[in-house]
Amino acid sequence: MAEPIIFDEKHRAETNQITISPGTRLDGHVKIEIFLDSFGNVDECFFQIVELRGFEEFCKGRPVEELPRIVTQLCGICPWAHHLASSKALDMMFDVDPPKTAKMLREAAYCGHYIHSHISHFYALGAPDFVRGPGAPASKRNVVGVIEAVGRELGAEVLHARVMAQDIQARIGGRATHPVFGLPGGISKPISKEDRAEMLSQAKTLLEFAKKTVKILEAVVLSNKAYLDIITNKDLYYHESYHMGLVDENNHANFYDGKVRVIDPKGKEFTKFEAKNYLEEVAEQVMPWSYLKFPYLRKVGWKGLTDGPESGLTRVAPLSRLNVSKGMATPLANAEWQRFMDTLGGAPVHFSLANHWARVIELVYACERLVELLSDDQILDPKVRNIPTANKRVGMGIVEAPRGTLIHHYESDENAMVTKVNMIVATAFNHGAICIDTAKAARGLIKDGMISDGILNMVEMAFRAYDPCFSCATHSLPGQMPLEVRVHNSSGEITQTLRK
Amino acid sequence: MSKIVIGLGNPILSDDAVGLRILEALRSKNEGRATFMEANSGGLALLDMVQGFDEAVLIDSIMTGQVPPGTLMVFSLKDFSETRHASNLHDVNFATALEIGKNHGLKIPDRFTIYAVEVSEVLTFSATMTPEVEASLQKIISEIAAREDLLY
Repeated sequence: MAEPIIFDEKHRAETNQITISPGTRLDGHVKIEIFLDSFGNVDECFFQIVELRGFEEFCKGRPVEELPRIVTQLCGICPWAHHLASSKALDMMFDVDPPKTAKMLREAAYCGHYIHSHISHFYALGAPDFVRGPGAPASKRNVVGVIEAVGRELGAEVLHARVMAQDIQARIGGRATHPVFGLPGGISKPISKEDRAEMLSQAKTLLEFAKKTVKILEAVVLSNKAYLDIITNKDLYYHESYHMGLVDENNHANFYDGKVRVIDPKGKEFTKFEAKNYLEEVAEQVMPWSYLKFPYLRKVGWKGLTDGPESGLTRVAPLSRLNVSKGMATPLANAEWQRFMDTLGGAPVHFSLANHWARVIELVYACERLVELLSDDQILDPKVRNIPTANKRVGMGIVEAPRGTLIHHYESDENAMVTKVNMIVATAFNHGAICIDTAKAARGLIKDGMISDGILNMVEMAFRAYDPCFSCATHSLPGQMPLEVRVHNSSGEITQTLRK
Repeated sequence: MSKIVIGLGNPILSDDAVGLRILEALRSKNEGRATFMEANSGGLALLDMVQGFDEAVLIDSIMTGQVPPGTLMVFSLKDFSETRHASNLHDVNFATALEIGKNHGLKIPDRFTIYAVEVSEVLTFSATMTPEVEASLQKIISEIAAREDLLY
């Protein structure tokens, strides 16, 4: 395999304002504005997002039980997270606890979604920066370039793994991309013995693929000192923040259920709460230059886009889930969690690029957990729904989306028609962190007005680590989202625009 | 010759639904004459759908800003311009997905036709399309049906 190209040739920026728009290899339309001072160093850096409108208005007046199917249309990327957060919110609203098997099947299908999502991110969005190198030509920094470098057999395995993960989602959820099975009090149908046997076989194959992915990460990234130096460079992709994620009763990471655990920048538990209490813990701040709100920890307070214990900004996503956990609930993932913590200095790990490694560990966990769930005969129990009899008119549901904590909050009238919908999505939680990291990377990488395509790609790597998805964050829908970087001079004039 | 017709879009995002509306109209009159599927994202998901077919037809929305809303445009892969959903931003664009498929020995359709309808409103959630796109719908459906030898 050819040596990756980490740094390419620089040239002098034509102006003092750099705009990166649209951001690439992420879901949504973003723009990065970099302002240089008179010496050509970074003065300010803004990360901006385009918005779509009217989702709450669209939902108002509709039967609340329609929401699990409507919310999947917010985004083609993580419809499962919305579907399940919505189903859990309705469990609360209708005051009904699903049977154990329904919960197991919700979680099993969700493991399938995680496997599909994490494979896509790692191979198509994350790995290109490392396999070919951040400074490699853009035409090589994609999944085709990864396959060229690592081998065609791997490409076939990636395609096959995705198809298996989708098949598992479709068998349980009715449809692979936009599930229709979540209902208040459970799910719409049990699974057959044949489906269970087929899915268990697929899950075991996926686990082997996940183990191979761990080895690829080791060979391509972790054994390369230059990459480790970038990942652990505190002047680039690093800030000390709170971290948030769902954990089970043993404080192990859980994607579907549990309590939300928040740790402070030193790793001490700050709070632990259930969905119904989220308003006591989380507030949202509006900034005039961005459509997307900035959620923060209410009890710490809003201090702006800054890190440290005084700032209420909290990160979510794979790195945060590993940080708030005392380990993983399955053996192989737990061993990888331990190695991760030992290598990076122990929890909390604040190196943002470590999200890529954390994502691979979660891939292992999702596969192991899926095998575990499908191996339990309880999963064949035909009782998969308890019929609701009450309407409490308020429901809140929380799951961990692949990109972090997702909160749905609904209110309805006495006829269970929607009166209010609020969602706080993972990318909104990470919005502040992405702004901080993007600005820090820009400051660390752009000196004396010298830039290059590779340098700007390394600025983008700051947000790519979080696997952001702005389509639902702004309640918008992605098409082909271009990235534009604009460079402004110290007078505010645009001196250079680079587009991808 | 096996043919798949895929409508792309979001049913509750104003004009973005146009590909799905056209698909439904064609599906209702052409059961058994082709395979009809809806999709909300492109990239590798589209590769999964089209592999194994001799012929693939994609119907999507597009925003060029250069023609009036409701204008139908026809592309082949050769002169393909990205429509709104041909790419999946969580993996790759459609052209890359096909390249991956070919490189891995998958049977990729010999003929691709991409129909793209110019739209104007894709930023507001709504179950209805703008009057301009709605008014053009029947004419567009009949034109696609005629070109694809489908009933309408």
